[in-house]
Amino acid sequence: MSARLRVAWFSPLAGGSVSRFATELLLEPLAAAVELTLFHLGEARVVETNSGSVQVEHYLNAVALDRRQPFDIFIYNLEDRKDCDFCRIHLALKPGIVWFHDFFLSTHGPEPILNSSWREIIARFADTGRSWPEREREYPSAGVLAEREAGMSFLPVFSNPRDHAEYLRLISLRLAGDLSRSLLLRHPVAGELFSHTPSRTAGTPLRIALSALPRIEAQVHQFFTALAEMEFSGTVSWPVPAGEVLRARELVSEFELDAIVSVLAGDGPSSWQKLVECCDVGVHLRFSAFGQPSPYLPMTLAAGLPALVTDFASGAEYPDAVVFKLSPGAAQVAEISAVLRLLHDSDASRWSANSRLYAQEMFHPSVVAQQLLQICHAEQPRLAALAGRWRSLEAAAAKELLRESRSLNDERSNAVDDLAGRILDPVYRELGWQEGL
Amino acid sequence: MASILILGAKVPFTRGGQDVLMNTLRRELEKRGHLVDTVELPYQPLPKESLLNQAAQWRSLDLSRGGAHPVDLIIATKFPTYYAKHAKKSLWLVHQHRAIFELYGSRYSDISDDPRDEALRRALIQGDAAVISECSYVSGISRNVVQRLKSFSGVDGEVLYPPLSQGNNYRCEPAQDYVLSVGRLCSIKRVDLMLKALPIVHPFVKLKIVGTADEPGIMDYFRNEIDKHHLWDRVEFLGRVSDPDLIDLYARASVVYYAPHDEDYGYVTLEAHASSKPVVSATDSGGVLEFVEHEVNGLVVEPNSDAIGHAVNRLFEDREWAAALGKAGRSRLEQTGVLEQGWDHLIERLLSPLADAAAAPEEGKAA
Repeated sequence: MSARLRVAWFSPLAGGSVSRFATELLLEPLAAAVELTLFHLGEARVVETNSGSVQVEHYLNAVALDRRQPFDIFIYNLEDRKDCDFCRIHLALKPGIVWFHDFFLSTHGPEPILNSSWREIIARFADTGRSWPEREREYPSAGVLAEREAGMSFLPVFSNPRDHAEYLRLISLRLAGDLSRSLLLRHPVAGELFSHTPSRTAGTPLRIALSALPRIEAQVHQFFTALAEMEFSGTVSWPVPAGEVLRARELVSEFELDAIVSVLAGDGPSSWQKLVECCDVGVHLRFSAFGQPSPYLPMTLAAGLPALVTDFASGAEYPDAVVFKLSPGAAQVAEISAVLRLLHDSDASRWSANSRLYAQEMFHPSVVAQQLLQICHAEQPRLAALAGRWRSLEAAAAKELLRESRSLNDERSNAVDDLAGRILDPVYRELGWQEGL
Repeated sequence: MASILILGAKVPFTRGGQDVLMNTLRRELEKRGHLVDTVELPYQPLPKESLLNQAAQWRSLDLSRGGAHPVDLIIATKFPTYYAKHAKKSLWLVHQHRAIFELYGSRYSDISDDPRDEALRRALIQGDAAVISECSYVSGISRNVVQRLKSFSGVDGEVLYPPLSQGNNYRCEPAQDYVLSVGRLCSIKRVDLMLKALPIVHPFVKLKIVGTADEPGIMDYFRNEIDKHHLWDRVEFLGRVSDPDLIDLYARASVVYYAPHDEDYGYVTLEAHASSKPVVSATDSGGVLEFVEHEVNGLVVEPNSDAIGHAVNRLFEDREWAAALGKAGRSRLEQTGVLEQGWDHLIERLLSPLADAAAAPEEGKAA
């Protein structure tokens, strides 16, 4: 092992993903502390940081680079996006830490994992006496939770307490021994948000940033009902994914709020960051058992804005002192109206202190980077032992592949004495296939 | 005169561009006075764990002599033929085993997350790099293939486009109301996109499909689509057709549809352009896009049936424009040398290891 940990970090580096956002925020402190290589779905290049150059590689080069000089830890960012599919593939090839930004996955994933025998592989990993999965069998997917991804990680880490709780409740007990450990590591938010100064004075129109999908579970209709009933005089900016714009506009029109609500195409952490810097209030609605748009609420708090949050699932995890919690259901409309009136009639500075303090302690990039490094250093011995066992599994898999190849030959060459031995073995040796792949 | 072996591997009972490539190369080499033969072994993509044996079988062949004739040069074409050993090995690469390279992670690859599959992938990547690097000369049939070789195996190669087998025999006749699709019937060729596009294409337009099924269940899938959209009178499966019949079909088509996923090269595009027909293709069709340029000699659209249907309609709605696109395709082909005149250069390059060999003793003497 080198003096500095060698870390292979997998994340999309383009598009509006949370993974990319977190990677960019943590790049500087991580590059200063460990020997970092970034892996993505694209060309090799170099990224310059204050601590020196960081190599960026195509993800399919990771195994070869690891063979040349082993990485101490593989870290995968995972979220419910197509551009994270390569992480879903590779985390089973070289298991390590998986940082879950989502635990609910809306697709069955990329082709190599559609018929994944991962349960049998884990069982084989735990007990080398077990046989390998059958080749021709169907291995149905477990469901919408990222069970395979959690099962195939040596250390699942969750950025969302609700996801972590679901993992502990539903998955961890099914996993064997060493693999059942898990941790919580919050999202980082941009450091510059903490220097943003909300300047609104009491009585001026409120500018609201709305974080919610135009789906029934977000209960945007409750929020719009409140705006309509109180004849809200401010403005609302509502960023939604490009594919949801029409649905969002229809909802706005239904409540005749077109004059005050602007639907913005394209969401993502960077867009939200720009928005909170020019708004006075964040409204975060989500009535769903799984997660929430993860870094958005922390960003609102870091910017010193008061936040209204659905008191359910992830929203409920926040202390009462830092957010205004909205009860899902009939009372919500009245609660929203009351909070908005209160905010309208008070200066912005009144609400900044608690939320910012909380965000500083939980989500500042230097804090998150420090925690991540602590995890890496503390877990490294255990991860190294597991990685050693995984390498043994890889060697056993290569041997098994050779045995399968040979057995195909044996079936055909019973009549000819040891065709494989005489003809093919020298080739296998020459190409380095005999010694282990 | 040199004695040359051309190496081929194919799934028995299928027919495609590989056959055309081998036959025409043999013909052209013989025309130039060389003693030529082909060596073919059956290629079985399944079970995937048999791929190592198939590669090893090629490696174990003794190709140094053919009866009384010492073999001067072998020309390898596709996986796993380039595993063959010879002091003078030219590579004219059609493709490597695509499931472990450019198709890995897509619906067209059968490599799973099982560590045995990963071991297989690594073995073939390692094996390919070793055996390709021993070639005396490396080339590929398109820029797409050569770029893949560089990205995945780190080997530089030259682009040698295969000229058309029927050379200058292609012609253009007044267009009839049909779209022509030519190629093996398998999911990666995406004939289904055209089939599913047909309901939004003008009802007088018919679809003629040349090619045979190359995947279990694919004809059932096509027939279901035809039933679902009531296309019985609009789609015709012609199966395998003779060369003269194919030239006739191209000559009378209004539009040629060819939108496979990441095609290596695609004779169909060239045959269409040689017949002065516009091609409808897709933005991810790989080597096809080295010839088809959007609104210059065809239409290049997103790989979905809506976009393809609308593209076909555009060409039927403005037939003069469609004809002009087809003519532009023909004139570009005439400039690139893939009609017939490209053979001299291509053969000179493939046989360049022999020229090097001839030069070597001179160098030896000088030393």
